[in-house]
Amino acid sequence: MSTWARLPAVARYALLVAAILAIWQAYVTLGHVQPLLVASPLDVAGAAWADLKDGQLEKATYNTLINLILGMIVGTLIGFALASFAVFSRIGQDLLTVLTSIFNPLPSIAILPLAMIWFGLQPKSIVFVVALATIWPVALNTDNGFRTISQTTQLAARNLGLRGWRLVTGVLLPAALPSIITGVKAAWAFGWRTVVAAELIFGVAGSAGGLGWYINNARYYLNTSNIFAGLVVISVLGILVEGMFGFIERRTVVKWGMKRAA
Amino acid sequence: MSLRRSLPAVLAAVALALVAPPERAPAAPEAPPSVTIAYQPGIGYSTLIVVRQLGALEKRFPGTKFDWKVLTNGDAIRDGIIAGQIQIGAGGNGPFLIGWDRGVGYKLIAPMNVMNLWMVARADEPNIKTLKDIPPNAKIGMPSPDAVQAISLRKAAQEMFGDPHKFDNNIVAIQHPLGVQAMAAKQLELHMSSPPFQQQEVEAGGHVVFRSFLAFGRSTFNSVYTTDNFAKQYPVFVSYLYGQLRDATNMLKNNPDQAADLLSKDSDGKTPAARFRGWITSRDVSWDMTPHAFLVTAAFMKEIGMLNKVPANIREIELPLLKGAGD
Repeated sequence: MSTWARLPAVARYALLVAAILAIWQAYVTLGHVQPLLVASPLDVAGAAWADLKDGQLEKATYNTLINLILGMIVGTLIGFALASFAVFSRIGQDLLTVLTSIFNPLPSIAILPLAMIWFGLQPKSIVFVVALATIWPVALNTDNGFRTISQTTQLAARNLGLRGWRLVTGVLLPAALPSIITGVKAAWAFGWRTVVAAELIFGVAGSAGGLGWYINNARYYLNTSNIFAGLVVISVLGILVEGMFGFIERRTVVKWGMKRAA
Repeated sequence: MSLRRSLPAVLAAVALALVAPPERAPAAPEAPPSVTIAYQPGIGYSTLIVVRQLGALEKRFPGTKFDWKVLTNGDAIRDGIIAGQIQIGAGGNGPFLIGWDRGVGYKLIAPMNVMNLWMVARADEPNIKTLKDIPPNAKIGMPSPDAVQAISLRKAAQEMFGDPHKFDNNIVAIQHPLGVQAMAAKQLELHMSSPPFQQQEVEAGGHVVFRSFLAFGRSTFNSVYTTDNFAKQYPVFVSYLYGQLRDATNMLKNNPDQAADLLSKDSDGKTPAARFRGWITSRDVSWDMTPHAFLVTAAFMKEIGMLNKVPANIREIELPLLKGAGD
């Protein structure tokens, strides 16, 4: 085993990040790059700090997360409903097949212009496209989870007299949890990209603007280091949410022995 | 080859690329092999449209490939110039001054016009008569938060309410044609655009709430600009373009019938020449190649934090072709 591989994982990642930052800073400082085009890590940190101090960055992050969470709640509930309906009836199954075939290949950001006509230039339009981005991964994965529950489990539940809603919440949901978590994870990935893209297109200024707007606004004012600061926040939040999913998995499906730890 | 062995070579190549002087063309040609000229929709760009329709540039520089682009806001054009994809751009003084402040390295070839821009309120908002009546949740459409529309609104807000940022949260960035649609669809309460969009909104029943002349007086709306490097490398081309802009300006001023015909032709005949004639001869529009109110606008932008520095005099932001004229 090389020295590198013997280091703990955290140290390996930290060293790589530090090296990337150093090369980036050196490229900007020594390469005489136009600061308009590429901001150095120090400039980015300065810009991020300034906007954190006056609350601009927190507000943008908060707006983005609210839009994302509202959209994901709506999308996840509808996705669950569709998948549950599909388990119980043939027509539900067909409906799910037809709807997912139509909507799943459609990047939901493409619906934004339509949403803007329907709901106006409001956060509602963004919530709508985020919901649309999250319904399908949740519905498909939940349905798949329900379908792959072993016959034994299902028959045992029915023998105990469980039906309808109690069958779903008591047996099907926990049994299908690994697939459901996969679905929600995929939904988050779609939703996150959609919400940022929607905010980039959709220029609601000031109080209602999220991170996408923050980036676009920085571009209007040619504040390149703020553009980078917005990107850094988006990336860091992404890492945090991924970590949160890992935590939930360790506490549930991994603990229950339904999924092996990564 | 392993990465470790090739790394020095890669580093050397990178270092060379960083320090290597830019390549120079052997003999200085009069015009570049290709040039992209970008402007925006609206009457404010009539001067360039007339130049385009007359086609004299193409005749004078047959070796040059011309690409005329219509983009929907000044920021996009400025970004294109920074990225080196646009050589000649046109737009309002707000995005221009921000670019100048941040070091884009460009200057005015010539302003094109002075225009009074209206903020129009929707017909079914009769209670919004002045800026004082704008409700806190009303949406005001304008091309971008750094557009001249936004700057004149901030100036007025500072004078009337002591707070230049009073309406910042009401601003919705929307390009002019979409803004007209959004007004019709009742998604915006107010819209500040430019001719002919503002006239169309008034014809549709809207009423004017605020005019940009109230902020900085008669001020330049749109200008044509290029980078210092381009102007240095192709002085013959730039000064010929300047001459064309002057001829087009004179035509718009003194021969509006002919100019209106050309503009109508440019719209593929969709808009009759008579409509264009009305717009280009409107009281709120004048065709004027002298910079107006750049310095006071810049001073205000610096005061409210939109600029870090102001031009000490007009020569800092214009090419010598303009001979230091204007303010």
